[in-house]
Amino acid sequence: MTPFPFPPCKEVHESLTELMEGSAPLYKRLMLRLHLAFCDACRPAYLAFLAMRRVGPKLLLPPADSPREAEDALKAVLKRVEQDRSEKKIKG
Amino acid sequence: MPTTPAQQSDLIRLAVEGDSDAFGALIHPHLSLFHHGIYRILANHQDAQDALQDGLLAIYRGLPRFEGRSQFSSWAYRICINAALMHRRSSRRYVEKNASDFPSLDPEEEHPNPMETLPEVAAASEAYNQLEHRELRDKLMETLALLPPSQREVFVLRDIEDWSTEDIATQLGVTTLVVRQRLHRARDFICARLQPYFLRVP
Repeated sequence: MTPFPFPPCKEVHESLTELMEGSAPLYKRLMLRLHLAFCDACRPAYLAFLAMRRVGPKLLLPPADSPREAEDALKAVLKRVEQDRSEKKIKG
Repeated sequence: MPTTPAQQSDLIRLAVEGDSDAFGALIHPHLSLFHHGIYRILANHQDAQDALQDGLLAIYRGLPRFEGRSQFSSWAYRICINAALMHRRSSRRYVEKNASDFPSLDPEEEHPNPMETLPEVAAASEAYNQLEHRELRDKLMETLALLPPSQREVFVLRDIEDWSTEDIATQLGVTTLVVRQRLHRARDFICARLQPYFLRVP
């Protein structure tokens, strides 16, 4: 009896994250990879998962200029800092 | 304008003494990065502005404890990400009684992870402006906003910020199994919408 039988598509799909995390036992990973090597339905999903991990961080890099709301948040904090400083001076 | 390490040390020293101009000059080169990191988690402009404000205040208050073990931008960025996570918790009415139940925003106190893997603003604009990525980026941002917040934060922390599953579980107060489940659902949702785009990426 095998500890993890040759998995059906549903199970492979549900295990893709586990496979990418390397958290599945070796035998299970081998079976998953074997399935992926031959299954035209599951392979694109796996490749898309991998591509997403690879390009995601590059796609979501910040723009060169900060938006208005970020500038407003900084202004509010600088005002608060200035107030704190003034209060300290008065107390001091 | 980017500052040299020596200039940055001077700005930090002045900011610790209460110089708001120095604090502004210290933060401004990284402001877009900080805001973007927060926005990716919260996917809402007003919430992002509030969380950024909290994060910047926490940076200011934490500056005397900044020991320079990591880059300033990495340290401050982590504080902003923590501020976004805190904001999300408070928006879910987790904060009702005791604010001390929540972890400090200071990553050097609470987070054992090295913080050297930060995307720097300097490298940002080139990839950001690539026309072929623009459509996919917009779609990804749209799709992220459609995710349930609990899945979005896990996806962003794992696949974008590259935190470990264990760190995410600790930070969110859930098990690694829950993190993996949320991550898988998020990836599944995103891939279901964007698979054709991702498969075109060389």
